[in-house]
Amino acid sequence: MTEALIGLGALLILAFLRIPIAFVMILVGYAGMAWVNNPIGALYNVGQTAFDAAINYELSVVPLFVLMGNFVARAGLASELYTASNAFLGHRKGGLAMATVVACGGFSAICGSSLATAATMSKVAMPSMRRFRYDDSLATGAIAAGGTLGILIPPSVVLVIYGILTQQSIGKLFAAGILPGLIGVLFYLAAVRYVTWRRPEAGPAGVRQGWPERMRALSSVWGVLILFAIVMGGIYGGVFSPTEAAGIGAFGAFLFALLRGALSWRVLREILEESVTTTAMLFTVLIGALLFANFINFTDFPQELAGFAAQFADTPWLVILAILVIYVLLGMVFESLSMILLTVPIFFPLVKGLGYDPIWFGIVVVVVTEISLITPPVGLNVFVLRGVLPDVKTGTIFAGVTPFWIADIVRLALIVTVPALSLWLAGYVN
Amino acid sequence: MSLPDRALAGERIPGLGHLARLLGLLASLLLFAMMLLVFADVMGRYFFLSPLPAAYEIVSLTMPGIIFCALPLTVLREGHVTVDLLDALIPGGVARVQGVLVSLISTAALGLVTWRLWIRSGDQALYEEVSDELFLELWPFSAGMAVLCAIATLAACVNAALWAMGRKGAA
Repeated sequence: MTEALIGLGALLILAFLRIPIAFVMILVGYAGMAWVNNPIGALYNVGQTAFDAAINYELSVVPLFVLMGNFVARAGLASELYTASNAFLGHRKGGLAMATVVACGGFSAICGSSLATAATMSKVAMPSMRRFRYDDSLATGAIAAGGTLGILIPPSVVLVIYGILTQQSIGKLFAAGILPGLIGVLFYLAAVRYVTWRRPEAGPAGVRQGWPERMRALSSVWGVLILFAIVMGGIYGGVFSPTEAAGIGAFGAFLFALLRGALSWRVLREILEESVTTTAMLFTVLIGALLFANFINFTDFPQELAGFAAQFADTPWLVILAILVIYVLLGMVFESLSMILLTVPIFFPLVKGLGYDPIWFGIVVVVVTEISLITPPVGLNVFVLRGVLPDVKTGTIFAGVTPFWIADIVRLALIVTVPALSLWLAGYVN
Repeated sequence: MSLPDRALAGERIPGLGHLARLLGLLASLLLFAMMLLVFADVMGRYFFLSPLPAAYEIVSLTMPGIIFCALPLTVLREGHVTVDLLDALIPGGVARVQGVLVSLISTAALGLVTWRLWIRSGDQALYEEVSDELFLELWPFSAGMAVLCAIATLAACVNAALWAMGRKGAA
């Protein structure tokens, strides 16, 4: 117990000193293992873990989905999604912000990263919201919050990692993410409604478009629909493994980008280079997290924790509540993937031991991670927007995000209390 | 905000910078090839009833190539996730010392992984471990990973020197 707590403490302190989290986890994981087991075994564990994590077929889904997302982001599909949702919603009060949320949801269906979704949509949606004199806080809040849907609506890189970590079916996890994602879109729309109800000047109505324009705009998003249908349909139907679906999705996204003339040699090189450096970064974190988890699992911490939680066998929701509070607190500091890699090995056995569904818990973890992406002081999505729109103050974006953050907390409560929302669709996966 | 040329300081180092970018290109080609391979495998299986032989294993063996070829470039660009919450509170001079220390600790972590991959490679050669389908010897793969990881370790070391010389971080 003590060893694990000291390890966790050392990890937090070193991370705060700005040492990359991956390297902190490698060093603390190794040192901890040397301490609780033996130094020689710990050394062999490092080589074994690094090798096994790298040579792994299941994990090849990660670079392929990252690549698919990067192709899609550069192919310009985002602007068509926005045009289409705008044609239906733009004439309402706050309509452009609503269209942004819906387009974010659509983009998430072909992109597995929240940061990429926020970055791409900010370039597409922000100019038109500025043109219609939208309040900066509403405009950026809608993009930052809408962007978080990227890791919930499948495909999702984070759900893939959760699935591999806990040996759950990725297809089921993807299916489970759909309804909570749609609920997220609806709640965000309600948040926009609320803001424009309180301050109508924040989101003036745009131009109403007729049905011919709407149909034309809708017909231009077929590419997104086809990609989503192939990737998800293939996984749900059991036709493809997740890696195969990701490979086909990446190839399809490549063809789209190519046919639309979005690819020069230079752009292709940039997309690939960005994808592989992201992959290297993700796998370093993964290797570190595995080493750290090995150390924690070698201590008696998991058993102690389980024993402690067993006292709450009559009121297991108290344990879930405590875990959620810990996630929200950690999310204020940690980047999403490191947080999941760090915590899931500790909490997963606990939650499973209390009789909760592993798929449901995966969705809960991802939703709470989405919240962390827009929670001050770190909220990565907010900083992505800052990077794209340097003239908007961080405080303005956080202020704009607040109603969406509240909507997220309500959604989290709903998903935690009604597991069927996650599990119903997952039940149909082969 | 750091100036772009400072962010790129690592890549400007003659030799190492070139090597890192060349390896990054190699990783890119491997990823693109893997995508084509997976696509061809599925098409082959469903439309021509002949999947590519050993596609499963080729994909597994390509993965370390992508990860470790891209690692030196990722390290030179300091592309690893950090908690930079306290950055605003830290004065410039301290930040420079911090940059040096962080890079040195990163060097230690990468060095550890390099060393142990190299030892693992030796063990695999000794016990003649082979892959499941193609019966390829595994030690050249782990040795390659170790060599690439050594280059990444060197890159982290160079980052420490760049911080010390004041060529990295906020201007």
